Amino acid sequence: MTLLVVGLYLAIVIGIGLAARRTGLGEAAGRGEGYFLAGRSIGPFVLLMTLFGTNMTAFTILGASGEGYRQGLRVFALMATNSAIVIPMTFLVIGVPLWRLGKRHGFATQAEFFTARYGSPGLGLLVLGASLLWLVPYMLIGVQGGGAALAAIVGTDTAFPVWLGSLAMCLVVLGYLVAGGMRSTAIVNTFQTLVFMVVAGLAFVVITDGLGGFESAAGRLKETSPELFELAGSRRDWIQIATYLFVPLSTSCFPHIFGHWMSAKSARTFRLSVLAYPACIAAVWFPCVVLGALGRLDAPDGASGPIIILLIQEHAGSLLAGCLAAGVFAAIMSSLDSQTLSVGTMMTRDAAPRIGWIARRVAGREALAGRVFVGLFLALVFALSLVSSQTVFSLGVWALSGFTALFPVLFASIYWRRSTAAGAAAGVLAGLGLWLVFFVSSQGAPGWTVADSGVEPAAAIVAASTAALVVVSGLTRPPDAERLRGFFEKA
Amino acid sequence: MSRARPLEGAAGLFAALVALRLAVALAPADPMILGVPFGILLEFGIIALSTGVLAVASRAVFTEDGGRAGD
Repeated sequence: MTLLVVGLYLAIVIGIGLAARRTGLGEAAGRGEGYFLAGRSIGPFVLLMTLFGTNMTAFTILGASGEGYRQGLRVFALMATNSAIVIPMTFLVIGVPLWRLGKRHGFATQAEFFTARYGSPGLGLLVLGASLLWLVPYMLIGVQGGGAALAAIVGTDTAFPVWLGSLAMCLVVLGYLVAGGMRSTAIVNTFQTLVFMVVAGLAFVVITDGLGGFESAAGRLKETSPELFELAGSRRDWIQIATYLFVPLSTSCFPHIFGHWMSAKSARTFRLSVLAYPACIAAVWFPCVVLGALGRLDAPDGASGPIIILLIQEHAGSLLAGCLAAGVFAAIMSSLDSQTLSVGTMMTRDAAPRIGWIARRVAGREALAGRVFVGLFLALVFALSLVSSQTVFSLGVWALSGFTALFPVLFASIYWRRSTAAGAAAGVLAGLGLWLVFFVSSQGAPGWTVADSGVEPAAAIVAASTAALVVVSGLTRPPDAERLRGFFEKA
Repeated sequence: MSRARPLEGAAGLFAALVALRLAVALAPADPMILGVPFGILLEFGIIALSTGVLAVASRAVFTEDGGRAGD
């Protein structure tokens, strides 16, 4: 039954993706803008769903409940509330101005923006390299996680290989990405986001009912494990909650979020995403974290697998288990498609034009080249997911902190005229360097904080990147006034 | 009123929201209301408040540009 539901779900997804292609715009226009950016035509509701869906990964359903199980409800304060405050604000203060500049200058990637803003192709390459360094391991986690989740969910009935689930997911994503690019991605993401929001709610209702009702279950848990109900049980916890505010800044630095921003129809299209995003976060995170904590009632001494799967197996039938698997796939694929498309866009528009013989073949056929890069890259990610070491997966876990290194530079590029190319490069390199130091010191362990003080690595990385950006910009020649005119004066 | 005023006001509100958020993180679990700890209810309050601040900020951003071309 579980596999039937998942198979049906994947068939629906690919059907929607292919149908969305039919409404596509002319792909030849603007160096493949129809394929990469849906011709900058995405409306408010689809933009909200696609931005939210892209940011919700397998971690939201499986990881958040797992953290809720270990740490209790403080996970909601740490991750959900902080994200609800910071992420939509970045849509407004970073996304809207970037959209305007992108529309004016025809940008589709961050590297194009940074190259033009600072007149430095080297800076564009640096941003491209850093983005790929963090994005690829992040994608591997999704591909492997999807296969592992499906294997765990159906595992009680039959042995199901992890690689098969990963392969099915990659093939479906490949199908609709090649067919319709950003348009298919956006429409499919809208459907997938709605699916995992419904699944999270459904799982909450069914499981709490199985536990004797939410209020009663929470009361029993409070008696046995009162520490799970505290937000900041210690000074260290409070420092972590405070400095975790820097982590969601990474969202505005993701290349795939940049692509979604560029696909918006107008600046005002962002408004719904800005206003509804906090409610969407609360609606998905609350049930996931609470269910994880309530899992202590069923498994007080530790769970052998993901706690949410154990709860489903305990309190729901195979139909809901199938829905949960579909929800996990929805969360993963709605990120994987956007990430893959952004890599295809970067390879086509940033990397290929720098390599002579590839550049000649790609010129004028960007949409076709994008499809080829998408296919090649997805095949590479799937292959890597089969052989990757623990270090690669640790890199993925640390990717969020890494991306925050780009935030000060991104912010300065929009709001600080005096920032220079050298300053921006120094900012990126300082953040990247400190990230590497932290990564090596922590041996890639998740949840690591600076000197075990509770200070999130992202906070220190943003501080280091900002300091380098300001100092080096101050020491180098001011940027050319003519160049700035295209970025700071109204069209 | 200068054009920058609404944006400055929104930035001030956002700073106040962050300060309030840090204070709320210290809230106790008790009393529990319908099974939800007091601290989590306050977290929901912060999320609702952030929506209000975002509404003010987005109004400021879109007023500041006076409905620019290209939108």
